[in-house]
Amino acid sequence: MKRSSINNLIRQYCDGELNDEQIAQAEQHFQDHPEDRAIVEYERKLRKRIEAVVKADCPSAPAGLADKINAELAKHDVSGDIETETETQTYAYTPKSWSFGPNKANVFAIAASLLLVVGAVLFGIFGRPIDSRSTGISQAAEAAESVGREHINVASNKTPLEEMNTKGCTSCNSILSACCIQIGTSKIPEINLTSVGYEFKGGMECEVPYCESSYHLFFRQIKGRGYVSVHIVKDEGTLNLDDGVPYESKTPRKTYRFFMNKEIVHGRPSVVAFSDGEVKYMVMTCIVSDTERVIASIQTSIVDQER
Amino acid sequence: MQREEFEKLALEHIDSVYRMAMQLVKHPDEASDLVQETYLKALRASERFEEHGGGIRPWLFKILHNSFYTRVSKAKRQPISVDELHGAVDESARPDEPAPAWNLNSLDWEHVDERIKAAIEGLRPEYRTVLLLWGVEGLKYREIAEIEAVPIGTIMSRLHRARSILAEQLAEFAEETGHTSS
Repeated sequence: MKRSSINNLIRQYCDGELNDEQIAQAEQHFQDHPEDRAIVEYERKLRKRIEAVVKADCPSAPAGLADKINAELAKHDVSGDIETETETQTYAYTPKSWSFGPNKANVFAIAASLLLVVGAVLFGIFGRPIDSRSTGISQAAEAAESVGREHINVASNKTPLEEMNTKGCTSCNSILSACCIQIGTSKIPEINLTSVGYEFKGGMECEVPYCESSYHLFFRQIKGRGYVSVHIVKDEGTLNLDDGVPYESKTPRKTYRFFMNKEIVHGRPSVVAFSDGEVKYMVMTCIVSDTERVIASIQTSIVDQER
Repeated sequence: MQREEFEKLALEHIDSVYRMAMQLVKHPDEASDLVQETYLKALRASERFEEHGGGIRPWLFKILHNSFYTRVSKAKRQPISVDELHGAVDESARPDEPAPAWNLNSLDWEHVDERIKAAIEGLRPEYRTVLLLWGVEGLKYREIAEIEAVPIGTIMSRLHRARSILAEQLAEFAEETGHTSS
């Protein structure tokens, strides 16, 4: 097991977040590596100090706040409507009385309703059910859905990106077109999509579920209005891309597709993901027909970097 | 839930709710207003409250957070330029590097409070919130995820980063001051 995974296991052990099987795994680890028990002690002390420091700084609500809230609550009637000074007029509300006895009309209505529901199910009036792969049945699917949402946010300007800065890479002094991007201690190969008609617009640190560090790189079509998002994910080995559907293409690496909830991503139904061993790439394209060329371009550039 | 019962249960947690409100708005008067708004909303929705094992507190926190984010648009994460991206040194410990303070079993915990406080203040808001809900309020990952309306994996990542940042700060503190008990 990777050290980072062990660290996470120990932290979750300290937090009481493990199931029985995982607890046994952690206990076994402590038997094999007794030195790691010190981590448990450290984590517990840290948590106690955090609690003590914050509570010392703000021990309680101000005196009188509870009374003030009580007084406000008392102004409300049972239904919870706010009674204000300007709302002095009272409204008489007479609930409509419903009679639902077992007469013939009602029996007929029930039967008709049942028939409608059965018919709707049989004939698919409700449409195709949401693809279960997008509802978080796996961590990778959940991560992919997060990537899809972020792509939409950036593409729709809910999360604006700054224009690309032209200063070179600080790691290798190359000019303009960076040879690599540094994420923590990891060097991520350059991603250049100009050959497939996209220019780099900017990047940001982002959060992909189950991943410790991830960056969102955003590209815009040079002659058009399409966008490409590339999420570069350094995870802890917990994301298993095998959960996705194999992406049948001529791209160099084994690639998977995660289908998205169509209600979230209209017309952009999938995130395509692959790994180069240490880093995972999750890609979403506005123009679906460009996906394979974009993926191939990224993968080829990774292969070139490795040579 | 009966109104009296709700009021009794909810007001028992006023200190926790106020503390979290202070972390969000950083001003006593605003925090008081936010807490008051939270309780009024909670009362209106009290009939919809269902006990899921964690008590009423996580539910109050969720209303508090929603009220806060309704008041001020949630600060969007600002993108960084390529220049910054290249030069960025991630603030958290990397997953495959042992957290530095884990080697500090002999850290003198009596002298670290100010540093911990400063480190918490320096955290990004989304990290700080998760850290406090976990460390101070004792909530489970699942409860925090519901409050923040993000996947549980995101909560785990945020908490991991927040703890790693604190660990780095404590390691620096020990190095600077020699505050170890051994």
